Amino acid sequence: MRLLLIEDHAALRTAVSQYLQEAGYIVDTAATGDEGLWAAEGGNHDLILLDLMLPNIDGMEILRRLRALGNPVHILVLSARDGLDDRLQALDAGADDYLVKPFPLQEVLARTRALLRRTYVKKNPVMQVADLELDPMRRTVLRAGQSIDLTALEYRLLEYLFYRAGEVVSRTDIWERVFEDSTGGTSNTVDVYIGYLRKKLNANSLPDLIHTKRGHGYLLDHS
Amino acid sequence: MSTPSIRRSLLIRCGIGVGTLLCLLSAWTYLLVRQRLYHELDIAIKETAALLANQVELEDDRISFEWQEGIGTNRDLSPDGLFQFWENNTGATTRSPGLHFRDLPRFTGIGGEPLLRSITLSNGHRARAIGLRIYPFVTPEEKIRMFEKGEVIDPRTIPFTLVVARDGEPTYQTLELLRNILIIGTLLILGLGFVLIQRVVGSALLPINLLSRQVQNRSEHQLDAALDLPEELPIELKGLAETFDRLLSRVAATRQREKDFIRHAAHELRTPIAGLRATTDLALSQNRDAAAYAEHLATCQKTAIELGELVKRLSALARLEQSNTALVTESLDISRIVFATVESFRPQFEQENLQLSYPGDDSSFSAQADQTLLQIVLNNLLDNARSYAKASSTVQVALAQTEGRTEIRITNAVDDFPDDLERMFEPLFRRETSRHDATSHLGIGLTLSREAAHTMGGNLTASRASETEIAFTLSLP
Repeated sequence: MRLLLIEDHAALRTAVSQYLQEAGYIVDTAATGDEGLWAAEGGNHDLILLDLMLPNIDGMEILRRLRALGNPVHILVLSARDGLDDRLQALDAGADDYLVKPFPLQEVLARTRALLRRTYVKKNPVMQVADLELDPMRRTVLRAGQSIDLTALEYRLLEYLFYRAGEVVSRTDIWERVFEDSTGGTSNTVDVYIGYLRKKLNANSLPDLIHTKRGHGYLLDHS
Repeated sequence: MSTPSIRRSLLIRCGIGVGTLLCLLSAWTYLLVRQRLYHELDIAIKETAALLANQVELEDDRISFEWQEGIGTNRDLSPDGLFQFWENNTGATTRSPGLHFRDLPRFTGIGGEPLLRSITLSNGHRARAIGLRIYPFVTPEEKIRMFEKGEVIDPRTIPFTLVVARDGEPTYQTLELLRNILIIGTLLILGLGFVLIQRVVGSALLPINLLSRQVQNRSEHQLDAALDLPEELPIELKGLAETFDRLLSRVAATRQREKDFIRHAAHELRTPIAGLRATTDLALSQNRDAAAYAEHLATCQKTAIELGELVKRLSALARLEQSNTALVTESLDISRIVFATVESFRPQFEQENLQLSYPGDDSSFSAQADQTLLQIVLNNLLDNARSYAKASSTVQVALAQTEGRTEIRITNAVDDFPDDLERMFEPLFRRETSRHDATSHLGIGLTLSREAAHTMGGNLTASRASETEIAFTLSLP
């Protein structure tokens, strides 16, 4: 999952970004409004965490411009403005959620997960495909009731496939949302990590749930 | 000492006024009626006395009283008349039958002149009486006879005292009745008047009570809301109420400003606090090595310093706004101070690729100011210019002497000219919604600077120097 954090306060930006990274997300950051808008318009993020008071371009303006462009990305507003009017204004301008500063980082993470579930139309926080289970809150993976140890990158890859379970996910999408450096990479890396995942998930000769669709990408599904 | 009361004062004053007027009027009425009745009584007595004065006759060398003969007009005198004659030489007396052998008081005026007075009759009745000296009269025939006899007697040698009285009891009773009526009437009128005045005063004070109730019944959150002035408010109260309303509106404006300030301050404090909270949350979210903790601690320290700076500036602003003591200023060499400040800022400007122009000519400018406050203003203005000046532009600092005041003018080009220059001086307002430099610009620099300028007896204003240039002018006495 690739997130974009647009926040001008350095300490807050660093802390939120690192916390989300440690929670398994790829976090791009921007310190100014124009930088943030440019990054958001790239359209490769699953969620944007947006401050309202920003240098150069205001957070509200970013919201309006993204929605005017028809960008459907979920936006979580992080703002020091706690008035009802401010919250209503932001939500009406297209924000999906609003969090008033100061906030516990756990809450940012919980709201991030909730918005990501909405992004991929998941109601249940614990996702399941056949006998494979993934719990984003605990960051655990179970296959046939057995816990499976995954590296951070493997987990991120599997979580992304879970969010998009039932649909074919292109290598480019995976590359952009799962891997840190999403520019100029190779799809071979994706294939290599899919291989690692299969090996760990299919131990004990269990059936493969990650299906390769040649020329299209990968599909996580029952059959 | 009791609290002064308009109601009580009005009641007492009106009561005393009306009471005095009523008493005077009653007394005047009583005295007038009494005088009238006495006058009528006295006229009747005088008429009787006039008749009786001619009733003593010297005839055949002796005194005879014609009234006793009951002839002609004298007929009416005897039955009820109250009069008595005394012969002064002998003391012999003659009474009217109505006296029933009781004496009247004997009196006359000085030299026997008629004198009217009130007396008490023997039956206890009050009466009016007249006492006078009279002499017997002599008929012409008697005079001739005495002359012929050669025994002429001068009637003036036989003086009589005549006292005529008239029972005035009915008159006195009428007067007593009148007096009682007047006293009771006065008391009743005073009582009724008191009630009436009380009601009138109450009704006159009603608008004051209404206003007072309005103020008393206000809840905590609407203390400074304007009064709901009734249409029928008396003109005498309108001025007071409007003045009170104006005062309330000033209080409301002050409270609003305070609320805005607190709201903005809270808002400004939230971001660094959020940074602090997020950094500590992150540090404690898992076990880390010492270097990571040190890094997070350093971030916390930096944020705490930033918070401290914000609080320091807010406190300075609050102190300046609340300061009641007049600042003692001194004559300062402004040219030298501005030069030193400009030079201290020059490296920062160069780092931002900005030019800083200060002629620094030989003219020496001085002004009455406080060095610390002046330094706060200059630092803020130059810091703002550094942050908000258009990229690669030149910030100009100039000094001038205008109308006995020294002006320091700092001009710089900006990308977006602010819509409302005055709003920039409001607490925590920033020249643009977006922050240029979150760590150093807290939005109170200009407010603080203007307060400092005012404290020194000067002023700080912003103006449009050209289409794209903004100028801040600090004017000092």
